[in-house]
Amino acid sequence: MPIDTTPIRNLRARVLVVDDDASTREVFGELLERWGYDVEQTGDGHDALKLITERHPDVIISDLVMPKLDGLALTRALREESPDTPVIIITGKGTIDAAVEAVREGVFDFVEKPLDPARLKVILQRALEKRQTEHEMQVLRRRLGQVDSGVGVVGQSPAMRKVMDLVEKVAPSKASVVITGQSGTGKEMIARAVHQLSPRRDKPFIAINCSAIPSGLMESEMFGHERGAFTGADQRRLGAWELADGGTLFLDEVGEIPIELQAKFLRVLEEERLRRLGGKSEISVDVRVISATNRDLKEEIKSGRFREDLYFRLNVFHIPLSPLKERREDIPLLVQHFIDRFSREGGKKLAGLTPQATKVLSEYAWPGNIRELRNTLERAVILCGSAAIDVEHLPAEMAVGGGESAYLKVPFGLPLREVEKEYILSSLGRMQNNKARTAQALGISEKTLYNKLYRYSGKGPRSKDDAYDEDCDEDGPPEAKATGAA
Amino acid sequence: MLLERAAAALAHEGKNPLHNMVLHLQLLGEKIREGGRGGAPAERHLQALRDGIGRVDALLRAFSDLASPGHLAPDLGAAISRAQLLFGYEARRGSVAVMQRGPASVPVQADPAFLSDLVCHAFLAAVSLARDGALHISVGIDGPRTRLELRSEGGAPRRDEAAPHLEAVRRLASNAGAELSADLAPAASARLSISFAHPR
Repeated sequence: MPIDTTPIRNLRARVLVVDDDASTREVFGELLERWGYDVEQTGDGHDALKLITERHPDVIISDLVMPKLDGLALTRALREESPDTPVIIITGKGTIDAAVEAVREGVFDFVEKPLDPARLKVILQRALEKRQTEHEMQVLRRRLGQVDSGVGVVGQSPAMRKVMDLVEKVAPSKASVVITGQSGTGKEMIARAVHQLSPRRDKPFIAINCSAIPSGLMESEMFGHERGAFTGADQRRLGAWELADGGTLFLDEVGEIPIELQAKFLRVLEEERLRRLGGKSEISVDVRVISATNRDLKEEIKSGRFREDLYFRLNVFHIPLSPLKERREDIPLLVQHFIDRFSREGGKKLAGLTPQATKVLSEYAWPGNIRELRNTLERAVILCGSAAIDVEHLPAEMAVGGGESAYLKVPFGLPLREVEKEYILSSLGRMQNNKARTAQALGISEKTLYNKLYRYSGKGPRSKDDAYDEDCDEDGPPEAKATGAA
Repeated sequence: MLLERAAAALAHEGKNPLHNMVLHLQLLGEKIREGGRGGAPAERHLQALRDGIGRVDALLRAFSDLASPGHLAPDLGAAISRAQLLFGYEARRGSVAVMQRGPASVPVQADPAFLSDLVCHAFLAAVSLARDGALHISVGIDGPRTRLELRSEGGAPRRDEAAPHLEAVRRLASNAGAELSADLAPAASARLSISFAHPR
């Protein structure tokens, strides 16, 4: 179910009144409207369930004794549909036993007839506060990037928020989804989030890595086989489609499905029926398909390796994932998440990272995305014998500046003199303005470096002949040297 | 059994219109105040209606409890209040001034079904013996026991009316595990004393 992040307090709270006595129901409705609530009414427990599904009231006030579905049965049914919605039961049967039973069934409060309006006001307020607290917890969980304990998506960058918005929008439907992104960006995690937030969450989530199945076995793995269908098929075996019946089938590396099998995939998607290998009858399946790829499927279509009709059938909804370097704001959150997780698993108590290690991880390019970050931190937690992970616990290439900022990008067409200037100034910056170390790293003398910096400062050459070609001479411009020698 | 079911039906059928009246009354009160026609006189009428609803509700509840006392906690104070609520009319009809001392709630060790009937019969007997006089009721702790005392004074006692209730009191006291002491000899005064063990 998508999370409604609209703050309840900015709206009139919605109250559903369920009472088989029309006169009481109406006067109750009018009174509650005067108290500032939006009121829905019904005289029937079954209708109430329907209204709850459609209108999502914040509080339900129900009579206890009603024909068909009484107040307690309604509360029981609500546990499935809307467990966070408080139910207030109004009853003429005010015994302790009845109240205990009601509370056991999950009733928020139990009010005896004839009710005390002042008391009802207080109870309604408390019920709404409870509802509000539940709501805020959901929003908070979302803000932390952990939509659901089972979803486990971490991230609060604008890019990830956009992804989670898409996930929440598409999850309740049965639409096929294609998730694209570089390797290690968490495509399967997002597919699981879609499943977890969908009405199919209690049904299977079957993940298949299409690139890991030999092409000869793909058909059997996906569609199953009957006993004796081929040599070695000594018993019936269900395929991934059937295993995912009622749930979600995640096809990772979908571009790897052999072209000769793609028509069969398309048919199952369109007709929701399949036939096992060697099978005589067709089997109905109800499966939602989520695919992932780091290939450009349009290019695959152009080159004839992927069917266009299958592509359109799979790509009803597209969720693109950004590489980690484009959502660096998520790195601290992810780092903490993985440190917590691996510390817990390893029985260690780590406070986090040293400032130096934080800087290294923040500047690194993360070509392997979240997977690389995860592996890096798993290793670091194992190696770390102190309270915080330091640079020494990180891979050497990372620690010496193997990140993106270790490279200098210059546009084609830039004059060589300007390229040199950019390179020298960037090197100086990386060396924290240490000129001796910079000169050493550049393979020039400190004096040459000073000369160049003097010229970059706009004060012109230190000697009249301080020209580019001679700058490489660590003793200064040749003319100057020659002049000096003369 | 019929009485039990009738009482349950009466409680249910009676409480629904009371509930409805409370809601209408609340709405009416808010509309009156909103229309600027509130103030003390209107508020007095509204309060009288609320009190009336409260009395009828209490009567329905007391009747339901009398008919089906199994769910009640054994409480001597509550039992005597219930008897007064249900049979206070008998006292008013017989010109009996009823005075009560003691806490509203006094838990005792007794079967709630017998306790309720016992206290009602004791009250009715004492009212008959206090015709045109006064009835003093006291509930309190007396050493290891909790005691209910009903003292009828003056007037013209109706011993014939009291007799069947006294007979019921004797029978029920034994069933309820209570000790009964009755002093009915003086012409213008009678005393019924019923004691119970404290709850465990």
